[in-house]
Amino acid sequence: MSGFEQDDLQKEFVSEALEHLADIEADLLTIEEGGANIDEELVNKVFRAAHSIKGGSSFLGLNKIKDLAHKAETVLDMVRSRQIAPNPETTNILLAAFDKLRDMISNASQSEMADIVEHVDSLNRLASSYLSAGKKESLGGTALLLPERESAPIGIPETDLERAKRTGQFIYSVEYDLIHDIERKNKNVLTVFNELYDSGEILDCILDFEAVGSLEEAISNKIPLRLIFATIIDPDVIGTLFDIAEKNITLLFDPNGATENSVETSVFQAAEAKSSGETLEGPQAQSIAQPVDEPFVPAGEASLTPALADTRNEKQEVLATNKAVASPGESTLRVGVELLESLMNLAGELVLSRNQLREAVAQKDQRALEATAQRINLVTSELQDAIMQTRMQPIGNVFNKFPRVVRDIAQAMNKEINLDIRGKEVELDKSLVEGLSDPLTHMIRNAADHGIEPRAERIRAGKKAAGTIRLEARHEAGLVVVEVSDDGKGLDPRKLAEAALKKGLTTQDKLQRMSEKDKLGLVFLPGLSTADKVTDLSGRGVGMDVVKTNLDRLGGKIEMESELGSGTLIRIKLPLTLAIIPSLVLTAQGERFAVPQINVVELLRIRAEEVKKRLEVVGDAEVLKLRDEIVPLVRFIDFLGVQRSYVDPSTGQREICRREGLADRRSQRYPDARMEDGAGPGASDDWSERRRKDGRRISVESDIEIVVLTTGIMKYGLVVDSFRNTEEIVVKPLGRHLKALQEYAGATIMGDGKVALILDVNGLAAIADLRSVSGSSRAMQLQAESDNDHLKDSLALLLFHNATDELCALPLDMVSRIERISRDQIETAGGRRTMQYRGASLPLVTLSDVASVKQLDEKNGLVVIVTNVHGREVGLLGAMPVDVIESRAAIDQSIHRQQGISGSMIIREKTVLLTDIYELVKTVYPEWGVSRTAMSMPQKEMTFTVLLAEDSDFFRTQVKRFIEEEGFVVLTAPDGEAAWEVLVENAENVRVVVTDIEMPRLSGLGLTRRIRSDSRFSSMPVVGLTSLAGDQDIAAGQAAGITDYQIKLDRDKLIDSLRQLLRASQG
Amino acid sequence: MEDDVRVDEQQMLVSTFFLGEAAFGLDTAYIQEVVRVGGITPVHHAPPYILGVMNLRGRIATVIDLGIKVELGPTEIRDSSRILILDWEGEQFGLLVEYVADAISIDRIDIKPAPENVRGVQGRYFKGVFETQERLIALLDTSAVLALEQGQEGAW
Repeated sequence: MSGFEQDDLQKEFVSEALEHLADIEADLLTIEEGGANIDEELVNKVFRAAHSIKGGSSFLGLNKIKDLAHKAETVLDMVRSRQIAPNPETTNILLAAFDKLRDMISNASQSEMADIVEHVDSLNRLASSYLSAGKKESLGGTALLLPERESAPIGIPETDLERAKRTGQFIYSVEYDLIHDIERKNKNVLTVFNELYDSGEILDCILDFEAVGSLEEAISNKIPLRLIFATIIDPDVIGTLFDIAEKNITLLFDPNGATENSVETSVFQAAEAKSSGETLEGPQAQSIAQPVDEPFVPAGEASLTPALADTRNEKQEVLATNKAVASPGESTLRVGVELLESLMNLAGELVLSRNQLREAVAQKDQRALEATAQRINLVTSELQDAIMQTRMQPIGNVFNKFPRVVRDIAQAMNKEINLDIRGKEVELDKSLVEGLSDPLTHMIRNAADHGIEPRAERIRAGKKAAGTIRLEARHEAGLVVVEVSDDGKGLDPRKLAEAALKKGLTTQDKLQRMSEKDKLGLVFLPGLSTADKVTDLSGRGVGMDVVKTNLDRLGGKIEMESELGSGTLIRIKLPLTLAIIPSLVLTAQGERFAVPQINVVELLRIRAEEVKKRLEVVGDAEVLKLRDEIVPLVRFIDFLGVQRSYVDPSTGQREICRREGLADRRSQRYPDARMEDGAGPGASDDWSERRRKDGRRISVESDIEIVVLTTGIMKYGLVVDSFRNTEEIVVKPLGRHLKALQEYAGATIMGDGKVALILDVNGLAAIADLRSVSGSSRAMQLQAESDNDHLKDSLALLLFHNATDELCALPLDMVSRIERISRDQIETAGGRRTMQYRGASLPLVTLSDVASVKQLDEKNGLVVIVTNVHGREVGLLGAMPVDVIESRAAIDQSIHRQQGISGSMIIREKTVLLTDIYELVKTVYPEWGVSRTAMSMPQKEMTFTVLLAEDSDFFRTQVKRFIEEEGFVVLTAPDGEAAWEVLVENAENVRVVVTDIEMPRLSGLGLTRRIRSDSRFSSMPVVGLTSLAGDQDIAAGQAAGITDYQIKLDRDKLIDSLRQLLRASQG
Repeated sequence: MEDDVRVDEQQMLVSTFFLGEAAFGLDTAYIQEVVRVGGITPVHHAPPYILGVMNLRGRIATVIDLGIKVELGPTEIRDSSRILILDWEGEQFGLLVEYVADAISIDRIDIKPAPENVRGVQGRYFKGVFETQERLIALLDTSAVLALEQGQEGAW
């Protein structure tokens, strides 16, 4: 058989069959929509598809495919002749059968192993349920036709004979010789078949290997192929149809009755034929089939459709099948002849131009050279366009599968959904069309599944019962825009925000600044919705992060609009092609790199004098302040020079790449490599300067060039040597040794013929570790720290050092002044230190007086932090440098808690010890506090109860302690709501309420309002606690009924305030 | 070259080249062309034996420093250095060598199994060795030199 190139033939069969199958879904659905009003043209088209699949597979010996195609063909014929109604059930069975066919064909060589019983059965049952009892017999039966000149009768399926009779077709036996009639004439079987499909139907084809003869005999130069062909062309002219000798055409059946008698007698309803029919049909078919006389009335039940049941239970399967559809046939591409011809022409032009070029070079004719260059330029551009066009495919190839997806989901979920498809003809690069398939399927399914409400719900909401999903593609500004929209229930940005917050994907603070649209964008965050099978986000959120990732890979952008209650729109913007992309060319270390333009956000040059202001080092990472954002920075040169480890193939050991050595070798080897940077002069200077700068993190000697890049999820800055222009580059793959390098997306050839690598913005971020939690959380933390607008609950801190590596903090509100002092200003007397300060003696304390910390480190210089404790000035000694920050960082009260230290917090990745100056002073000067308490606290105050509402554990414990030390009883509550409950329970005892303002559940203001509006507590004094009291806050507090405002950690003032209020309420 | 030397079934035309003192041979059938060193773009983070990539008439060829690959140490680049272009399994490769000597015809029978080690080079990179009047020549095994080895893929 090798002579017939069975493999090639099979490939051709597969690609042709898949092409036939491509539109079938849509066609079947249209037929179903038409109902009794049958579009014969369309049914014919589907019939022909089944028919040609049957023909080809039968020649190739793919019997399972042939059998199933034949059954489908029979049912389609009955639809065509209006014996079967194209209702949803019929459509389901046919769709399932064609799905199966597609599966088998995609995997043709394994198709003989496929199990088609289920599909054959349901097709048979369907057909027989519409047939009268008598005709039913014929369904699986074989009719035998007796050829005129031959002895052996030929069996054909009875249904085919019925059809021939009904439509007035002649049936011929046509004998081809594969060698002489087909091979030698440079044809192949499939093309011959295709010619015949135009004029009739091939009922069967039989390849007669026996006629080839055995080895012993002389080799017969002939391989007969017999076709049973049904056509309306009558015997007189039939010879012209086939390109073979007339003697090889035999009439088997004449519908006009001229040979009817002879044929009729030769039709055996032999027992033998019947039994063979039974085996084909399967025994159970007959027991289920019920006798029905009227066509168009199906006797079968819903159980007729096994495939539909699958669809209902396993919606996933719909996806799976459809996925399989998109993949086959990638290895070949069909190109229009016209396009091919224009390519040929252009190639010819190119050859011509090359000859002219040679001539011009030989003649050293400058003018001719220029003219030729221009011509080549032109031809190349045209050639590029033409080649690109061969890769362009209509997006309809993907769109066409969605009617089925939507229909299946609608049926399974008992919804009514119309799918409105527009712009099928929009063309996109082949790889993009293929890549779009999954994300679009996901979005359409989301829309149908979660977006569109059930009928009843829609009617209740005053909408049309039938939902609409619109799928549209169009060109817009050099991009292709694909929109998926629905008129369903829409997404609730609030719920998205809540979910994102709950999962720790964003902060309250960030959310406050987000627009509704920004909040919708949260749906794309990884981890927001993937985990939940059934989403609580009412709507379309499921797996959108995956969709986004897929689109990022295609270089696409995605955005979402949604209005609660009226629908959602998702818009995708895609480049036309992936093979040629506009890119920014940049240089680093004398080498050029290309970055896809789509990943470039902006280009920045930071002037030398601004570098310090704009760049900051956090931990070991540099960040860039970009307007109100903090963007991590990657020094590209450092990145390239990073030592990477690899597994040595010979030893299996992980080793460090000899990167540096290589770099050195490179510079020795190719002095020109350094100059590559430019044709530009001074390039080598630049090189040496760069070398000098190496190792310095923030250089202030020169301007810094930064490309701000986006991965779609995050932004980062890449510090490069210089930018060059934007160019359209042709993407070429890297070899297998380099494929594993995530940081490169490929390579391209620059104008000078040298290779430049294309950076993969995602991969680079991953390798630079920007994606890791530490990176993003660091950025987030910094964002929080640097942001002054929304820090209501933040704490202003004075940072100072104790030892060089021991960072301490004191609430800024408690600091009166800071003075630099020298060691010799400190006087020690009686074990206590003092210094002369403003004409008086200032007592000095240090943390090491009471806490077990290191000794004060004096080498960077000393400061004295003047603070006021119990009405006296005290100096706290600290070491330089000092800094003032605002922080919202969480305060830990256990790890570093000890005398003089109330807790610790992590600021800029360092542990900061929070100094408790009251405790410190109390320990060093115990007599101060005692005297004060003894003097000013009347005994009866002991019974006074204070209610403290504060959500921060730290502040709650601290403030509680302050107040308790003064002899009050303190009740605490972690939020306003709890405080209210405590208050109501202890209405008799509580004399004053102290409350934080920002609290969950019920804020301090809310609590105050509630207190004020309750007659029992209308005169209850309320002290508001803040960390930073602005005028606005005070005004708002007064409006709510707050009696007094105090700073959280200013113990003395708070206590004074409490006393005053208690006194006032007593008096 | 093939015109100059008659090749029959038993004969094999071998291109010879050097890395320092070590002489290597490669079946000429593998060699597409020999080019001068130049226009190579280094690929950072690539395995150390990768010198870089180069443009070979629109295709991107991966250039391998043969010296590093066969564990002899970096190949020195001088005027005589050349890159042998090979088309192997559908991909273009360049092999950097110190200098290219003659193509010689050898008798297949004369090829002996590779010893453990030839002048410090692991035997696994060779198909065998043969002797000429002057020296011992090691026949390179292309797939040992060009293939990704186990555990190598995605390792860096």
